[in-house]
Amino acid sequence: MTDNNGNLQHAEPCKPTEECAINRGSLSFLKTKLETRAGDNVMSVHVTAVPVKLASTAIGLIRTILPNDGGIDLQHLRRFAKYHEVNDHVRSAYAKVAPRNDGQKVFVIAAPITSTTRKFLADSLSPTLGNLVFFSIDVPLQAPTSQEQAAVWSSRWWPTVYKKSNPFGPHPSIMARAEEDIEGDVRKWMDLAAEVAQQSKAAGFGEAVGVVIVERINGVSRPVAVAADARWLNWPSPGPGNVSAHAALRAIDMISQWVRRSHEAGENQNITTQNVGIFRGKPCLPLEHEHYRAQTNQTGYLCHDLEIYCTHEPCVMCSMAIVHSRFGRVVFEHRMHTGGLCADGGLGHGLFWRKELNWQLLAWQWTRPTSDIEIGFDQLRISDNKTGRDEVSSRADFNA
Amino acid sequence: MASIHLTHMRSALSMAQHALNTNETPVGCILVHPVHGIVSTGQNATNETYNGTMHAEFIAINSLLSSCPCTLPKTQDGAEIPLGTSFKGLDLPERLKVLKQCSLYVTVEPCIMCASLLRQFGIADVYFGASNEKFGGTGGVLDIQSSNGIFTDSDREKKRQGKREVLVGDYGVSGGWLREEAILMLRRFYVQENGRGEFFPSSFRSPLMDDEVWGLMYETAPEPRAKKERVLKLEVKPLGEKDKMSASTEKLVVEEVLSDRPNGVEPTIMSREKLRAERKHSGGRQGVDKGLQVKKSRQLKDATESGINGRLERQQNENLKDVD
Repeated sequence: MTDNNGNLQHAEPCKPTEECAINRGSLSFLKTKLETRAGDNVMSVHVTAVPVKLASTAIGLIRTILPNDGGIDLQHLRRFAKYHEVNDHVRSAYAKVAPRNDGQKVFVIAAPITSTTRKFLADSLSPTLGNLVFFSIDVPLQAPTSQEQAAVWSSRWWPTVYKKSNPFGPHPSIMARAEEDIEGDVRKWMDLAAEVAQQSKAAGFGEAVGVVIVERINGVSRPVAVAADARWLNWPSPGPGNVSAHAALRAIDMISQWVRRSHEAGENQNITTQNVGIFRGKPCLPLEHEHYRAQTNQTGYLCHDLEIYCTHEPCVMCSMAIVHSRFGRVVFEHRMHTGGLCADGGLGHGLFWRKELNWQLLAWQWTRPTSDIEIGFDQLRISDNKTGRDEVSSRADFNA
Repeated sequence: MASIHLTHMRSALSMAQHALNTNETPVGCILVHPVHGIVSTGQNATNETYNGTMHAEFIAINSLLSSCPCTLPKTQDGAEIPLGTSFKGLDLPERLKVLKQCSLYVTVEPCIMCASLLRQFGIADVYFGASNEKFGGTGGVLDIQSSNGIFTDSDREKKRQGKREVLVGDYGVSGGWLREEAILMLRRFYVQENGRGEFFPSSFRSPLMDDEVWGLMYETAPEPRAKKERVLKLEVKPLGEKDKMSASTEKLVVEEVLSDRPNGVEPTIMSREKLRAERKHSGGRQGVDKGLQVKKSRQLKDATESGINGRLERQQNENLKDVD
C-alpha cells in the first residue's frame, strides 16, 4: 500500500534502524476524562511522629484498630517518611504541635481524617507508643498515573509512589501492549489516510480528511476500509456540507456492508452499489476502491475490535459513532477544536473512555516525524513543538 | 400548545412501534416543519443495515433530504402518518433550509452522535420522550445542544445561572413527552429479544439492543436475564422518584414538576412554551429567553434526570473547589 504514497513521502535514503524508529513518529495516549478531572484531588490524613524503632509496632497497631484504613486506599502513599523526606508544609504542620524537632522520629500516616478522630487514635496508640502528637496534612487522593506525576506530588504533598496503575483509564500494561502492536505500522496507515484525504480534496469531493480502518489478526494487520471526507460530493455549499459524509461515518458504512454480506451469504446479495440518499458509504476514490472489501468469509459484528486511523480528531458525532461501532483502537494526527475524543482541551468530552458509556477504547494522538513536518506536509498544524501540542487544536473551520 | 407536542410524539411512537414489529430497537422519530407539517419520519435501522450508526435521526434526515420518497409508515391503528406534501418539489438547498426550521420529535433522547448530527445540520428544536443516562447527548451524559456540550461538566454553576452565550447551532431541548410509553416500548423489545442475538458471540448477546436500550432498562434489569425469565414490567417510575434522598432544594423542584404533570409532561415544558411565545413577541430578547430556557431545563435535569449522579458531581465540584 505504501507504494501509492509516493506523493506524500519525500525521497529518503535508507537509514539505520535507530533513525527508522524515530521516523515512525510518536504515539501519545490521550488523557481520559476522569484523569483530567481528578487532577490534584486531595484528602486530609492524620499524621503522627513515632520513634524509628517503634515504626513497625505502630503500623501493626494501626492496622488492628483500623483495618483497611477505614476503606480508603492509601496504597499509593509512602506510609512512613523521614523528616528530610517531607516538604516544608508537612514540617511546619509538625512544628506547630511539636516545638522540639526530634530527628529520631519518623512520620507515619495514621489514618484518613474521614475514617477516625484524632482522639480515638491518641487513646488507642499512646499506651503502647508513648505520648504522640497528631497533625493533619493533605495528600493525593488517588494514585498517580505517571512517574512524573508521582514526583510532583511527592514534592508538593507527601511521598507518593507510582505503581504502574491508572485508576482513571486503561491499565498501563494494556496500553503498552497495544502500543507495541501498532507502533510498527502506524505510520503506514496514517500515510494512507493522508493520501486518501488529499485525493478527496483534489477531486473536490470533500475536505482533506481521511481514515483507514485496519483489522489485526494474530499480529498481522490489513486495511479493510479506506475513506475520505465526501461532504461536498453532490452537495451544495456553503454550509457544513453533508454531515453524514464525514470520513469516519463513510468508512463505518463500508464495513457494515462487508459485515452484512458475511451474515447474509447466500441470501440477499444484491446490495446496491449506488449511494442511497445522503449516505456516502460507497467507494468513490481510487484508494477507496482499492481497499474496498466486496467479499469476506468472516462474520463480524459492527466494527468490533478494529482499529481506525484518522488524519484529524473525529468530531463529536464521529467519535460517538466510533464508540457505537465498538472499535478497539483509534489513532489521529491533528487535534480539532470540534473533536470529541480529547478530554484535555477543546470540548473536553473524552468520548473514547468515559465510565457512563457502555464501550471504551484506546486512543492515541500520533505525531508525525519532524522530517515530514519540515517539508510542510501538514499545513493544519499550528505548532510543531511537542510541549505546545496539548494546547493547540487545529483551527481549521470544519468538523472532522 | 402541549397537545400538539403530544400528537407529534404519538406519531413518533408509532414509528417506534413499526421498528418493534420489524425487530429493530423501537426508537422512532418525526421531523415537523411549522409550515409543511410532518416532513419526514425515521426509525432505528441498526439491525437491518448492520451499521451501529443508523439511528432513527439519521434515517429521518436522510429521508427529508433525499429526493426519493420515504416509505410511508402506518400508525398503530393502520392509518398512514400524513406527510406534508408541499415541500416535495424542493431541491436540496431548499430542503436543507426546511430542515433548519424543523422540530424533531423522538421517543428516546438522541444519543451523543445524533445530538451532534442535529447540531451540525442545524435543527431548531428537539422534543424527546425517555431520557438516556448511558449515552444521551441532550442532557443524559452531555449537553450537546448548548455550546456543543463544552459546559456539561466544567461549568455547571455558571450554566445554571444562565450566564452563557448562545452559540450558532444551539437548539432547544425538552424531554419527558410520553416518556412512559417510550420506555414500555423498549421493554417490549427487551422481552421479545433481538432476533439477531444468536449470531453473536455470547459476550455480545443482544448487542444492538444493548446499544440502544440498556440505559433505559437498568431500572428493571441490572443484569441481562435469560429470555424466558424476562417479564414485561408495565410500571414506570415517575420522574424524580429515585431522587428521594436528594437535597431539599432539589426536592422542591421535583415537587413542582410532579405537582402538575398531565400525561408525563412537565410544567417546565409549558413554561417553556410561554417563553417561546414571549420570544416571538419581543424579538430582541432572544438571548435572555434562551438563557432562562437553559436555566429551566438545567433545573429540571438536575432535579429529575440525573438525580444521584448530579448530586455526586456537585459534591465532586465542591471538593474541587475546596482544593482551589
